[in-house]
Amino acid sequence: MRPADACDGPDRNDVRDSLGGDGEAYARIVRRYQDSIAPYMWRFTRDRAQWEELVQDVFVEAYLSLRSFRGRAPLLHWLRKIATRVVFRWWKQRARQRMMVALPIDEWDQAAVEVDATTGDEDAGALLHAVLTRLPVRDRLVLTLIYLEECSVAQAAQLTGWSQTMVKVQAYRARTKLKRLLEQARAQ
Amino acid sequence: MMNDLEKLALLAARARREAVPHVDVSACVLARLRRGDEPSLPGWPLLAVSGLSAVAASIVLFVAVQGWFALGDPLASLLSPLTMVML
Repeated sequence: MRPADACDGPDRNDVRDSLGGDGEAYARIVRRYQDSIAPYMWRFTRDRAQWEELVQDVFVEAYLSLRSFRGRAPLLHWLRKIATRVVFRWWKQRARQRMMVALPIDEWDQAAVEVDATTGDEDAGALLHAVLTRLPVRDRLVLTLIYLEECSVAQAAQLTGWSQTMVKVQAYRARTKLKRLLEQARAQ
Repeated sequence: MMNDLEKLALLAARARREAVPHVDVSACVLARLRRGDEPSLPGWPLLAVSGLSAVAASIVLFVAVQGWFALGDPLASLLSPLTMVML
């Protein structure tokens, strides 16, 4: 018996047809899920060209791994796992650029006063992005999943492939590093 | 006064409401798949290095095994005449 949250209906048919070489079936999968994957990738880069390329990378990599999709969970869960893998790899490649970005400490401190009143959603996203960019890859990933994606520890563990204990430890370290980073920026 | 983690949670809540630009990548994805354009995998250099390391390790293992079987008692040449005399 298939679990209730397994991949079913149009997804199942489209996956089968895509594996059979039907490009249009895969295009339907992309069109069905790109609006879920694109905002997820937006958390990790705000450069539009890079963002579009990352969204493409997710679907290209998903297609290449499609044979490994067993259909025991919804297709979106599987795509989000691939997206997490893609973004983790992409960040690691750009680890050096990360350190060159200045920490916007004034905006961060000001946000405490203004966040309820004047800080727009887009500004809040940009500020958060700029601050998290200064963290190492694993720390940034875990904080993004927990705070921005509102993932539980179990969900974050599933997406990253880490154990739940690892997620908790990583989140603790990431919070400590973030606090230290902000304190250092204030002291300078 | 809000601490940094409270601020992080509050900014994240605002950021979640942000309108993300819409994008349709289906045509580009299909074009890339037709071209056989795979996402750049940084694992390839690592795979090449690990392959070379495995080859080097096999050579060392082969030499070590040969050496092991060629090992003899360093005192054998000294003791064997004595053994013969005792006999």
